[in-house]
Amino acid sequence: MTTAIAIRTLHKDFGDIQAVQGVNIAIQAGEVYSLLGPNGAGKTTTISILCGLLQPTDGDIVVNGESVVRKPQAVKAMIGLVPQQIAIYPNMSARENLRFWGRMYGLNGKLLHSRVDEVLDLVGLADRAKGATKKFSGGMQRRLNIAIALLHHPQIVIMDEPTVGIDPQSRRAILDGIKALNREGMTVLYTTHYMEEAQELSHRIGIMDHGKLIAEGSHDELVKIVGEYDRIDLALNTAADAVCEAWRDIPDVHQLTAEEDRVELLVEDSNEALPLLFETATAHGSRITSVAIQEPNLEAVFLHLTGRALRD
Amino acid sequence: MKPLAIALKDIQRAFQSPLGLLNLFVLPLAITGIIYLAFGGSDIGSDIAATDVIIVNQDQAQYGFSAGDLLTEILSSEGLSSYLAIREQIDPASARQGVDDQEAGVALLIPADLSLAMTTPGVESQIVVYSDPTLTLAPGMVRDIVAGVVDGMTGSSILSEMVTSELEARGEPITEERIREIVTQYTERITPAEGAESGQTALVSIEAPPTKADATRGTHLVIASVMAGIMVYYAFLTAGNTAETILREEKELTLQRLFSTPTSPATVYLGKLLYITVMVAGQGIVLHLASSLLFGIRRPALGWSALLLSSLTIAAAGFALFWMSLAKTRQQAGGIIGAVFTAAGMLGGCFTVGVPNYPEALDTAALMLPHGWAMRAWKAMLQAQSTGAILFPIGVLLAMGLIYFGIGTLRFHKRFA
Repeated sequence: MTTAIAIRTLHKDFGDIQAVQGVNIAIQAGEVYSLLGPNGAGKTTTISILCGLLQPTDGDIVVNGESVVRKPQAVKAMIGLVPQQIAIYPNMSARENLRFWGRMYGLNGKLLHSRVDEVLDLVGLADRAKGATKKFSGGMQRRLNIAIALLHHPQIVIMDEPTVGIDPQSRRAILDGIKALNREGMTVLYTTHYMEEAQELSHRIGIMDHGKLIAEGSHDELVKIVGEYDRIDLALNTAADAVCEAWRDIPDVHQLTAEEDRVELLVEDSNEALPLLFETATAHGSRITSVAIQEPNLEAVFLHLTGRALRD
Repeated sequence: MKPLAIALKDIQRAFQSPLGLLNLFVLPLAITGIIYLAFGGSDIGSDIAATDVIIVNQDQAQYGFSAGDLLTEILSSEGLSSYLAIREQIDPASARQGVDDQEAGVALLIPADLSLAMTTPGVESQIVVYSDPTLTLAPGMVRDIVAGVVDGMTGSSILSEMVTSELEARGEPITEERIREIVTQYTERITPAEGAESGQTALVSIEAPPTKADATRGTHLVIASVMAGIMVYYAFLTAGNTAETILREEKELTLQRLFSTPTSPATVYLGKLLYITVMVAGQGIVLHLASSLLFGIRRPALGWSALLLSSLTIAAAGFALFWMSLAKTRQQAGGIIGAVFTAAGMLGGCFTVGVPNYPEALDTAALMLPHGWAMRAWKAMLQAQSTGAILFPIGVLLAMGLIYFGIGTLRFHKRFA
């Protein structure tokens, strides 16, 4: 496989703020790569540099052999950006919007006309092509926002949180559309803070936090970072010392960490372990006041790596 | 083709906004129409309805000279017949009653001792102008003429006193015939030309306008200048409003998206410039045609008009881009357009073009702004001045516009780089 996007030791500072700190990512052609991270992690800044909207403080991004620093126009011609916020002309129709943006991507004449029709079909807006887009629902505007990025049939599509603030049906349609585009060979760089979207779509996932890439790999590879255990967080009505000794003897319990009345356990199977945990606590005169179960997923990975939940 | 596509898209958006169209065409035309009507509309230069004036002339002639007759003669002259309809009465009370009953606008009451006062030192007399308080033009006209004639005749009194003294000093006889001769010669000098028979040129000459066109030329020039002021002001205002679309697109995030396409920033700015140019030039042409076709305002030669309009368009676009580059938000842009563009219009002389005796210092200060140079070029064209007098301000206007455009574009480029 060839490398479609090579992000090389990328740095971006805004005054004293280091928004991106030495990020290295290689995205293969035909791959769906998700950048996962909380707001402010540096995902959008990285994408903005890739699209030529920002100059890097240091480092470079090479797209199909072309440097975004040295040949930004050549890179822009190869990518289609779906910005996080809807960027369309509200008092123009969908078709007028598409025709204008098509011209900006260098399309003209019959090719422009046919591509406009194709993307209108693709995003399901063919029957609403003539109406002013300001009357569209949020989901329809999102779909048009995506359609614009696909007009010139780019080799790479960059989607910056394209499902923020839309209804489940529209989200489903967008996710299915991305899968379809990828099946046609399109490389997709997708940013999100929804771990389930990253899990569903991606061949590989990069986790960013505070401007750094803190982990990278397929979903299964990332989950293995925290192991294949369920995590149970418990709270007790008394000090945990005596109960913890008994819990450690339960075969399902792989690891136990206690601090005052709070206990964190890694178990083989939470369904089997929980009844035993309750039973043992009662036998030692303690009562469990709260339980939280975390199956191994990207949220757990992020929590494990940063000590914070993904949406903190 | 991309700049054209950007410009066409912006034009389409502009024409979809009723408020934009109102600002673009309706308001400037409405203001022009109001000014046109304020100057008399289609009746510019037509006759004003003559005001009835009653003259009660009780003056007794002295040495064969009657100041009352002279006043009556002047007010009854043909040159004033369009404005004053003179009729004579004997009784002052009836004349006053005539004004009270609005049968006449003015009553001029000439006392019996007017000529005596004019020819005899130490004798005083008083002319009464009794007028309808709702009228201004005719009473003012009568008062001015009376004052002028009385001033002149007071001179005859002084002259006769001086001549009498001189003759006494020389020991020559002072006869009634001699004094009459002096007064007659003096009054003939101030009598209207049509009444003069001595062959000398009269000091006072009241003539009717030879043609209506000549009479209205000055008024037309004023209206054309005022219209030019409106056009210049709105050219800059429209440029400001259209340049503001850069900030509007930034807020709508479409500008950032434009920069993410393989479209260079220079192409985007060129598209915006084209848009501003088309809108300002379009507005100028519409105002140009409308002022000629609807309001009958004379325009300079087409070539000169086109040259100035082109320069004005570039200057306005540059000026607008510069100021919009200083605004960080649309709110700030609105403030700049409201405050800076209006102040620049005022300082640049767009609203004071018809003001008589406009201070020279302010007229010079206007040249700090492109508005001032645009107005200077318009005035030179309307007054059919020399080619150099027209080309110089146009050249300065163009240069200022290009400088503003360069700075504005650089600032935007730096901002979005």
